[in-house]
Amino acid sequence: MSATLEIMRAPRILIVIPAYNEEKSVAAVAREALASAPGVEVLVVDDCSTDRTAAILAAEGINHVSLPVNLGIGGAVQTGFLYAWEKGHDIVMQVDGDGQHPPAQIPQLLQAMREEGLDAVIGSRYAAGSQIVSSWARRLGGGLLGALIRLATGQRVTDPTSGFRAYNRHALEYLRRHYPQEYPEPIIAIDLLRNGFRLGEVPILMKEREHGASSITGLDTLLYMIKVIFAIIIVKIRRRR
Amino acid sequence: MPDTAHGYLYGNRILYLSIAAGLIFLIFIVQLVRQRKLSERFALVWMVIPILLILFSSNRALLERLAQLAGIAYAPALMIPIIFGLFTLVSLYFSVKASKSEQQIKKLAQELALLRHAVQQSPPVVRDRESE
Repeated sequence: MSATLEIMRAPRILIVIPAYNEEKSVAAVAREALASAPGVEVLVVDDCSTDRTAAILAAEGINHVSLPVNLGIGGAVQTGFLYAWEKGHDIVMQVDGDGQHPPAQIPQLLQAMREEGLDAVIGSRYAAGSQIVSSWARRLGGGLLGALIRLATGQRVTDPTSGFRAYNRHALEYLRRHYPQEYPEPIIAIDLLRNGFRLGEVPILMKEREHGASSITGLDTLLYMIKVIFAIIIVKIRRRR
Repeated sequence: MPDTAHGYLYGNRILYLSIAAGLIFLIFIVQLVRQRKLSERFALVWMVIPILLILFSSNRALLERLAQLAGIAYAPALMIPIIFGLFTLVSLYFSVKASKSEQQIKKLAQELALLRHAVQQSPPVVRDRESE
């Protein structure tokens, strides 16, 4: 039935851009995302920013919602997913508001989803064919996480912390209900794989962050790792839904 | 187990103190409920601690028996793991409540953001009529 629908109309795509205090980059990211493919829609989720993010979005006429309290990246992205679900989008994407995800490479993710029949696609900095722009600490952390995910699910995920992603409506239906509040990216990868969704990766080239600081830096990487590993164990032992 | 008279007195003194502390705690909780600073639901959970404290402290025979079962020679020492256990349980209970509240707040915030967006996007006719 879905095949018939595809012939009848192009898939409706929503690009969700979570933004917390990204006044310098968010408008440019949103515009780039809108221009990345014909017919895509954008929703910026302002996670109760304290800077001018909301004002800029309103002034530029960019489609956005503003959360009344700061929920963190997980809650913000899920808000966008709830929106996509209600509005009937076929594909929902996540592109971070800090400008490190290249909206120009959105079509690569969509193409992989279509051609390989995937439910979820991760834009990977480390998959074969991508050029690496990252510190050794983060690569090591990512590698460890990847190994853990492989252990938990049997599938190789080269860049589990990448937030540059695309999900189809099948995955969206699941994620709108179950979206981890903290460290969502690696958790989702495992959660989806464990629940039988098809997940794949596409090599991409990420830019250095344009503005603001990464949420994962320096010594925090270790703490992040410990917390994520704990969260992964929780996902692994939790009842399937 | 031969208990010296001195030891017994000493042992009972801590039990009397426990009963007094339990009663004061109980009164304090009731006061908080009366002042509407603590909801009945949570008050009930907190009352479990002083009530059990009083129960164990006022019943030396029960305490002795339990201590014997646990292999503790000095019965009043059993109060320590009991109180520790009760507080741990109560804390855990509140963490569960906090986790649930967190989920509820998240859901409300998301709904509110989406509804506000929907209202702002709704045709001006509807909005004008509402503001009249």
